[in-house]
Amino acid sequence: MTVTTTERTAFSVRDAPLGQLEDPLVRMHAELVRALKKPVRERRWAMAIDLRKCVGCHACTIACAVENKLPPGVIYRQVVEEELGTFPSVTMRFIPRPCLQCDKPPCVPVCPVNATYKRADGIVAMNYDLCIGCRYCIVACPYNSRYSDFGHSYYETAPQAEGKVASRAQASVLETIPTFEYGQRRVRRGKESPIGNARKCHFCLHRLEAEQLPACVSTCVGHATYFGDLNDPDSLIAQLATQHNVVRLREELGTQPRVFYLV
Amino acid sequence: MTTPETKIETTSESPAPAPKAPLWTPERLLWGLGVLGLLIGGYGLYLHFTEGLRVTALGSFVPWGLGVAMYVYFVWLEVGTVLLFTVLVYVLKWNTLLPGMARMVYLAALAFLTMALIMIGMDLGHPFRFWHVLAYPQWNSLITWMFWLHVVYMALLLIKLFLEWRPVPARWAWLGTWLSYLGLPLGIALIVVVGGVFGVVIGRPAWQGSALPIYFLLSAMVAGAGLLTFEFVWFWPQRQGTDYVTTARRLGNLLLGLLIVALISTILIGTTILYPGVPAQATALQLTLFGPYWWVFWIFFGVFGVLVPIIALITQSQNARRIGLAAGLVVLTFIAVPLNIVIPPQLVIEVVEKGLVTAYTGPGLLPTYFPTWSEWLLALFALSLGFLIFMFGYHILQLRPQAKVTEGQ
Repeated sequence: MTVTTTERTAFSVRDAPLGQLEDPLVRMHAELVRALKKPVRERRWAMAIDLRKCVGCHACTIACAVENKLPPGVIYRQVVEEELGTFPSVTMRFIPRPCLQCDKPPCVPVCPVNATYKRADGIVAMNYDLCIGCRYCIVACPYNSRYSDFGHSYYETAPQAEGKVASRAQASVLETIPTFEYGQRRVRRGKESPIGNARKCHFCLHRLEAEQLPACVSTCVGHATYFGDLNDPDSLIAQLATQHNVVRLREELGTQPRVFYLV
Repeated sequence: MTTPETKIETTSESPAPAPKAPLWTPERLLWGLGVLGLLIGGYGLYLHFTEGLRVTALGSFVPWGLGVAMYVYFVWLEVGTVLLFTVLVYVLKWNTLLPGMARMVYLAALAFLTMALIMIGMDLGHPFRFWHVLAYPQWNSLITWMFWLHVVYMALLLIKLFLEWRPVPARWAWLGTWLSYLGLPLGIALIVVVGGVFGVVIGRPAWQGSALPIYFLLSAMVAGAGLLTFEFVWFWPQRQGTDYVTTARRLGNLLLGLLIVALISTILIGTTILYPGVPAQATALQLTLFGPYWWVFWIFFGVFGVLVPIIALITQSQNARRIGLAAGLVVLTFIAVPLNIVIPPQLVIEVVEKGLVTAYTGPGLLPTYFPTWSEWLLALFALSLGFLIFMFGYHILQLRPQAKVTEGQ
């Protein structure tokens, strides 16, 4: 019997007793598998980012872009760099900025066609086939976490160089590798969706459904990004989210983000 | 071969040929200009269809630009003129000349509606999915309301225009009157909802608040007063006599009053934003006043849109032509208002979210905006199409001002 990589990993994690899992990634993975056994409406996905651990390597940005085959001008997880103080007392602060998956998302009620919606598990998702591309949700997001896919391609500025490896034709092939966002296989070409649509971070929903952590979480070299089910009181994310050093961005707006920052 | 004699004979027998009409009459010239604009602007439309929005200067930090600003302005002109006309004729029962403008008012409104819909339709990432708003409406969104109000208002305009074009029997006269009354709340709702589209978003603090919908209504009134005055002064069939001058003066005074109220409101809103100096709001205004497009506010709007028309309307209040010129200047330059409302509040991201802007770069991730050629060409297409619709109605369907009418009386 052929066993896929996902099945193998999930099998070993399922069998491991929780108390013996030291690595947060392994622990979060086990918690993810546990959460997926519950009905969707009983899950409450959330993310915590420990700003003290973030080294500003941008690996999460790149992993996200590769995972979701993001074109130029679309980025789901930026890392904002801030320089604090004056020489010689200077320090850097790095703030990763994914979509905060607000519990009261300002982007959802403004959509004229219900193309963006809050899922039962808390993820703010997009229906690319419904979206008309009015970009009202982009304007409405107070965190600037949404992006419009204007149809730009990396290869459009590549040299013609016919027959060469780095030619425009070769580059264009790479950009037509399908993306699996929201569990849908899509090839980005012509004016087909997601071109012309608003796009956003979705906590790598397609990976979650395959029992995998979001790309940014798996890639974080400093273990600064945590992910899990807030409804699971034993989960790492639930423990982190209730700490005293937790802040959420622009709480005064009442959007109730699902991304917590540990400071 | 004919001899000179035979030629003379022939001419003496047949009647003298009618003098040839000149090839380029003003009307033909206008038609020609309209078609030329449509053809040149059509390239912009073609680019938008084939390349999508990547031919624009829009991006994720400045998602709305010239298209949205022009849409807003065309809606102001469309609804503002009809609203003001209805109030003056049906509510305030102004003099006997103004009702004769009905045909032209509705015709111009329809032309501006067409322009507005082209600008906003082509601003969509998926223009051919516009029907999704009809099929899958989400009633919490003001864009849904805006779309549906447009549909209803367009139907109302078409019926009104038809009733003006082909007058109905006397027993159906109430229909036109009641449609006009119905147009009042509908028109106000449309303008306020368009303002509300901006006013309800917390993502752009410079827009958020109740001031904008009210300011939109006021601005629509100013734009409408300008257009109505312009239309009356330059298109009224008998441009002599006391009634003509009196009506022009009254319209000019109304425009003057509305301009002054708009100016005071602008100053009040501006100072209340600048005084506390909340960066996200104050920076937007500072960008409007002293940013890269300062000239749009100070010269386009301040000098030619407000100062010159106010001086002209105060000093030349007896001269109908001057009133018409001042009104034309207002119509031409008031586009600066929606441009200043739409664009600078989005540019503040460079100041308030500097880290985000520099974190990742690429096309569509710029905190700046200036329309590209394709956007200007699309605007030219919309303007030309609206102009040709107006020409068609005016010259072919004869939807012109009438000296004798009974409407509204």
